[in-house]
Amino acid sequence: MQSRTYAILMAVVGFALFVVVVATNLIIDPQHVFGTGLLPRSPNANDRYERLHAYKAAPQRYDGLIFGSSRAVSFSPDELARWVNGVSFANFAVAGGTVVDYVAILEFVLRDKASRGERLRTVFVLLDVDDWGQQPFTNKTLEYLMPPEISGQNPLRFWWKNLIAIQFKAWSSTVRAARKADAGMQRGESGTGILQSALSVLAPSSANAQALVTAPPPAKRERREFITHGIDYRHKLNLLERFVALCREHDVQIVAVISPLSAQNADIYDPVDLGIAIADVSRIVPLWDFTNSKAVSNNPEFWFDFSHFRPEVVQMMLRRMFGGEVPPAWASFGRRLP
Amino acid sequence: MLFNSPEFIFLFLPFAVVLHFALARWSMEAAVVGTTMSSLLFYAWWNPPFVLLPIVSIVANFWLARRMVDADQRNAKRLLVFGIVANVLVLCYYKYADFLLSIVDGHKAAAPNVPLALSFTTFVQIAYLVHVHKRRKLPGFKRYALFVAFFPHLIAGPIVRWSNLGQQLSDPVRYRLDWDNIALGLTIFTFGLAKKLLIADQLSPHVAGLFDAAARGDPIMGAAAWIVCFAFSAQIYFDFSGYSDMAVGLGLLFNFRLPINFAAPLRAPNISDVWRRWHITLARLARDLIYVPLCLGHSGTLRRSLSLMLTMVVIGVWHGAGWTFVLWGFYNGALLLIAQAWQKLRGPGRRTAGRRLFGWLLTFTTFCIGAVLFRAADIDTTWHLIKAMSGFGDAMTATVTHPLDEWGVKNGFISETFVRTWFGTTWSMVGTVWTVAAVAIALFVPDTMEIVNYREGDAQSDWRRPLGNLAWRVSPIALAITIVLFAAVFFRLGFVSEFLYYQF
Repeated sequence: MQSRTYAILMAVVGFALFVVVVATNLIIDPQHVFGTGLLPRSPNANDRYERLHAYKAAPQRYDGLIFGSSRAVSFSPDELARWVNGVSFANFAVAGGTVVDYVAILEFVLRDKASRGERLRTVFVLLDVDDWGQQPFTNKTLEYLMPPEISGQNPLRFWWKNLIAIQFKAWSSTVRAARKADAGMQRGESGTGILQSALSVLAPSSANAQALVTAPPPAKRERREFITHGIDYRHKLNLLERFVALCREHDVQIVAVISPLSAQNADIYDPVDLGIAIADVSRIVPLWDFTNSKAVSNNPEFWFDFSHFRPEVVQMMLRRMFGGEVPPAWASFGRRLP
Repeated sequence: MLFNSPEFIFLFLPFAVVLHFALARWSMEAAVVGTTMSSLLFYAWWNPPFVLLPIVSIVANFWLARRMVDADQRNAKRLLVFGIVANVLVLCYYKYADFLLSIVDGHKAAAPNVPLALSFTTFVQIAYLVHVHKRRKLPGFKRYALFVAFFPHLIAGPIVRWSNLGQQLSDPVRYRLDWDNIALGLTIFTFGLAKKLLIADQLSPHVAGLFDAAARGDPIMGAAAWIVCFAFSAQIYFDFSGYSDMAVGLGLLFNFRLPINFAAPLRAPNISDVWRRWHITLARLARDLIYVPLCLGHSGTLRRSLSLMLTMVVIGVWHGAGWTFVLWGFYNGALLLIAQAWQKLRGPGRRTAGRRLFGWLLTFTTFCIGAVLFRAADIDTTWHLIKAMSGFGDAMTATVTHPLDEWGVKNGFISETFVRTWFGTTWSMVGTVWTVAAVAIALFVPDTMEIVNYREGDAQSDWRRPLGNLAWRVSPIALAITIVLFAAVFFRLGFVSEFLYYQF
């Protein structure tokens, strides 16, 4: 065998592997960024990219923004619009969303609005103060990658990263989800995408919003975490200050909310420290704090899991914030700070 | 851009190689300029504004070298001293400023944010200034710029010398496509990639978990502390020697032969031999620039011992700003002095197999213990681990923590009591198996440079073993093996992890 043949064959095999990866990413599109559309939306879809894409499709339609993490998925823009003087909200609630994302998106939208001579009226922001000390997921992996318009990164890098990623888990989960959706269609079930299936999970359960059934509190922990000692705590406070300053500078109304915590979740943190964190945040922006109701926290009926609350809770949050009627059991749910 | 990233392997590298030889067909000078530009692009990929640093450094050092050639002997020496001090000061500013301040005011030094490649380019350029001072001959600026910036060695070595790479850059034959070197280069690159991705990166989470736990002050079991010092030694060996192999392979793709940096050091029978075979280019440079000048004209044992100790401390400090690195250098210096004294005491006696085995075991163990200093975040963490290794570790865990260990316990492969008693919460059976496998590969599987019989800048040691049919040559079987290895590493390219030596 000649060295030339050896070298060329090695290079060819290497490039063939590379081409297979690129083709697989384009066909399966696990982050749902290429828009090939051959398979239904993946569970690993990059919702930051999708939210921006949806906004850019009709930016003139929106004069409000919803910010939040996956906990905010139960907030419907239409429902919110009914409470906030008909503001039309673009939804930027994203998985693992933090103030890092909110500031970047707000800056982008304000620039965009200014360039078209439009105005942003209101932002609704759901703050997960329990995650305040932790480093954000943003830009850590492909599904959390900010779109280049927002991150300021070179667009080539964004597309390159999505093209060349070797991601067996994401590929297989997308194909599995597609097969599942296909089987559902064959059985005559409605709804095609993962988003629909996710939303069906989020539909109201048998929980009765009138009754606050209190479960026994979880067993006491020996060691609790301190949010304010977290490595990202100060940075996030600074970013929130920037967020608020931007809103004030552009005369944008802020509706800020601290999300309720399940008992399991709240039990992770030192209660005094949690109080300090809430106070720190409320010093920057007036807000509604919904961490205070033990009845909601302890009732598993109001929770999808230890982190995400159900739409019944959202309903009561909106009524409490905007002066709607609430059943007597919910009268002390949430408090205005400061 | 990392050597183990898809953008490097499939985008940058083919572009740079094709550009180099396409320009070389036109003229040698064009190829030199083109590859220098590619190398600066490679550097800028990490942080574009920082590319100014190597550019300014290259221009400034070349200017100084030119002044030195034109100056008389006395002024040339002054310029040389100025150049060395200036280079070291820049390095100190970025790497050691906070550490030095912490000595003065007692604050806890933060990890320095050192511009990529600074430690390596500083040494390369100091060695170059010394070379010019001795020879009083100056190459063209373009060749000098490529010599420093050539991307295969730019970030983490091997540390090249003008007498080696510089000569090749002036040789027109080197600018012709050589399929033998390309075949060899692709093979060595693949082997290096496999060392990094298939071995070093498997150890990384286990090692990091235990050292992080030690830094937090969590209880560490004695057995866990011992195994982690072997695990980290194997990790850094495969990580850095893998990187060095890749650099040599990349050099060959351009038809340049870079020096080897590792010669199976974990197999070395004594500590002096370890330092002839571990990070060879740094050890040689330190010998030539520090040890030899310090000993020049002095034959006394005390002077030589102090020079050796100082050289090792400088090597330690070169790796990082912290007391752990100072102590690591001191520790290795002490080991070398003890080994020298022992050799003097013993004389040229007959070495039986048993004695050789004992010598290797002692060398391997002491070298690995030193690795704790190299990896630990601070002195407290080191002390915590050394205490655990001395039998003062504690705290059995209530449960088995690693999921694979849990699986092993459930299926009756290992005893839960065994894992809890020996490894505690911070180590696992899986980590142990990986460590044993990695050390076994380091000891019993021939090294890349042995397999391919590459000898550029070889270690001054009798380290190569006869390989017989295992020796690499261009053949369908060798191609099949290399392709299988590449396919195995290819599917791990998604888990891009930095090379440990990038931090230095």
